[in-house]
Amino acid sequence: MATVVQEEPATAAQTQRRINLFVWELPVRVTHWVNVTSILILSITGYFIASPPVFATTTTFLGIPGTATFMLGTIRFTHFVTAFVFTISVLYRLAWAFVGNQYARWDQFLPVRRYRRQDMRRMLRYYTFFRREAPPQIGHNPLAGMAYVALYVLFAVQIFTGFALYALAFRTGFWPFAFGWVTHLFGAPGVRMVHDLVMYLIIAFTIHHVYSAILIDMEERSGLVSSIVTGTKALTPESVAQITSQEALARQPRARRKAARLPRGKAEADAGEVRPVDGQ
Amino acid sequence: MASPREDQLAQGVWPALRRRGVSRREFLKFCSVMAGALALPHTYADRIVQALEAATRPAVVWLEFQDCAGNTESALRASHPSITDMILDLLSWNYHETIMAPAGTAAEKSLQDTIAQQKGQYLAIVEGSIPLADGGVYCTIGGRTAIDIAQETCGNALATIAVGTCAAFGGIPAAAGGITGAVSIGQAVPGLKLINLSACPMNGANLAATIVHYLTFKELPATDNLGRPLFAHGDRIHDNCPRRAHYDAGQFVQEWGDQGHQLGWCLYKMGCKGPATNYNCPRVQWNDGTNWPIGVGHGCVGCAQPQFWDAMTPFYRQLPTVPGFGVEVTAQDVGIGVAAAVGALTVGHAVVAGVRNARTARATNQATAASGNATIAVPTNETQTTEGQS
Ligand code: HEM
Ligand code: SF4
Repeated sequence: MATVVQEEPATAAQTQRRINLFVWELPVRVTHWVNVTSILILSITGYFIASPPVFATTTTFLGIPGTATFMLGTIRFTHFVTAFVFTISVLYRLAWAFVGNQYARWDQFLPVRRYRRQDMRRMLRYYTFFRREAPPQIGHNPLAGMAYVALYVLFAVQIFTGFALYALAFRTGFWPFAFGWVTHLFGAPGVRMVHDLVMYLIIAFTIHHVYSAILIDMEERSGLVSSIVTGTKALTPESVAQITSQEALARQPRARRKAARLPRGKAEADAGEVRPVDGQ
Repeated sequence: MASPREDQLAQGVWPALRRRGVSRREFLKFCSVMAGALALPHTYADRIVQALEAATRPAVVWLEFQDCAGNTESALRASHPSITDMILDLLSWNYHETIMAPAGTAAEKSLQDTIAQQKGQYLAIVEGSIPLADGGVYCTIGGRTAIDIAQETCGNALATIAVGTCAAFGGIPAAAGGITGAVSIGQAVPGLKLINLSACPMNGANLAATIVHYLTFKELPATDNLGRPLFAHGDRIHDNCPRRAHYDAGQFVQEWGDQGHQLGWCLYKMGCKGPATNYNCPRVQWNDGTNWPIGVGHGCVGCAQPQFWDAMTPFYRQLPTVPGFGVEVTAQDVGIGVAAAVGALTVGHAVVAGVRNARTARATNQATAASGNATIAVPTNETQTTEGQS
C-alpha cells in the first residue's frame, strides 16, 4: 500500500497516525464501478425510451448522416446490452457477499449483530445532528448497509420489470417463461410505470450516497471516497482498536458476551461519545 | 346406393358450401387464406382443401353470457371470400341465441338435445364472462345461471373455444369496480380442453382458422402461455406495425392531427399499447382487410391482453398514472419529485453540517489559542499497512 505523505498544513485530525487497511477487494470495486457506469447508461437511455425525442426534420444526428433514422432503436439496443452487463454485475456482487472478505459479506448489510444495531442507532443520531461523531467503521456503517439492502431491492425490481418488458418481444421460450408472470400480474403498462419510477428512486439514492460518502470522509479523513478506487482506508489506531474490541466481543459466546458487557449507558459513552481522536 | 365416402361428402363442409353457391374458386381461395392466417406454408392449402372436402361439419353450440354480442358480430361480419358463409357452413349451428330461428323453450331444447345426443362431439363456443358472485344470479338464461349452463355444456363438449376477451380473461365485466364476480370460462370451469381467442372483439378470421386447423389436423392449434393460439397471438403488434420504422427513428405523433399524425408517424406518445399487445391485427386486419386501428391513426388499446380495461388504461397516455397521486401526475413527475426532495434534503443537511463544523473548528481554535499550546504536529510519514481480513 502506498505511504501517505502529508504536505498541506495539517489539522489535528489529519496528523493522527493512520493505519492503512485493505477493505474493498477487487470484485467489490469492479462491480461498484460497473454498476455506476451501467446505471448511468441505463438511466440516460431509459429516459429517452420513456420520453423519446422527436426527430422531425433530420436524419442526421451528431453530424453523422442516417444515424437518426434508427435513433430509438440504437438507444434501446444500448439499454438492453447494458442491462445484461448490469444484471451480471449485480448477481456477481450478490454471490461475492457469500465468498468475499469480512467487509463484503452479507452480515455487513443486515444488522444481525447487536453492536451493529447499536452503531446503526448512533449513525441515525449522527445524521440527525443529535450526535457529533459518527461511530468508526472499517467496512460499511450498518445504516449504510441497510441502505444498500434497499438499493438491491430496487435493483431486483428493476431487473425483474426490465426483463418482463424485454420478454414482450418473444412469443415463447425462456424470457416469457421466466418473466411473463410479472407482466400478467401488473399488465405491461404497470410494469413500465414501475420501471420508470424506480429509475428515479435509484437516482435519489445516488444523490444521498455520494453526499454521505463525502460527508463521512470529511469527518473521518479516512480516504473513504478514494477507497472505492484503491480499496484502502486509513483509520486512526484508536478507531481500529475500538472496532477490533467490538468485533472480538461479538465473537465471544453469548454468556461471556453478556458478562463482559458494560451497563448500557456506560457502553454508549465508551463506544464513541467521548472519542480519543480530536474532532476537527 | 351411395358409398360411405359419398355419404360423408354429402354431409361434408364442401357440399354444404356448394349448396350455398360458393364456387370452387372461392373455396380454394378461402383455403389459401386460412393457410395464410394459420401462418402455414402455402403448400398446406392443399391439405386444407382435402381435409375440408372430407370433413363432416362439427356441431357447435355458441353460448352468450355477460357479453355484448360483439364477437358474434365480428364472426358474421368477417367476409374474406365471404368468411361469414364459410364459418356458417363449416359448422352445424345447433344453438346460437343471436342467429337461431327457435326461441324460448324450443331454443333451450336444441341445446339440451345437442348435449344429450352428441356428448363429447360438439364444439362449445363461449362469448362473454361468467358471473360467480351471489350464486351467479347476475346472468341467467331460461332460469339457469351462466355457470350452471357452462359447466354442463362445456363439460360435455369435445373442446371449448372462448371468443373475445371477456370469455378468455374476464374482460370488461371483470374490470375494477365490477360487482358480478365475473371470470373467464377457463376460471369458471377449470380443466376444459380450451382455446382462448381473445381480443375485443376477436377477429372472425381467427375463429375460422382455429376451426379449419381443427378439421385439418384434428387438434387445436398450439398456444402461448395464456392459452391463445400462437398463429394469432404469437407476434407483437409493435413488431409487425407499419409505423415501426417511425418508432425506431424517433418520429412520433405528439398531438392529434399534427404534422406527424398526417404523415403516419408512430402513435406511442399518444398511448399506443402495441408494444404490449400480441395479436395479428396488422396482418389480418378488419372489414375485409380494409384497415385496422393503427392503420387509421388510432393507437392500439391492447384489447387482446388480460385485464386490458384496467391494465391498458388510460388508453391515450403512454404510461398509467401513479396510484395515489392525481390523474395528471406521471411516474416521471413523482420520480423527479422524489429525487428533488432527496436532493433538497441533502443540500439542507450539508448546510447544517457545514455550519456546525465551522462552529466546532472555531471553538477548538479558541481553546487552543487560550491554552497557548498549539498542537500542530509534524505530519507523520510512517503509515502501517494491514490486511483487513481477520
Ligand atoms: C438501473 C437499472 C435500469 C434503469 C434505471 C432503467 C431505466 C429504464 C427506463 C426509464 C425505461 C423507460 C420506461 C418507459 O417505457 O417509460 C426503461 C425501459 C426498458 N428497460 Fe430499463 N432500466 C434499468 C434496467 C433494466 C434491466 C436490467 C433490463 C433488463 C433487460 C431493462 C430492460 C428494459 C426494457 C426492455 C425497457 C422497455 C424498452 C421498450 O419500451 O422498448 N432495464 N428502462
Ligand atoms: S404505432 Fe404503436 S405499435 Fe406501431 S410502432 Fe408505434 S407504438 Fe408500436
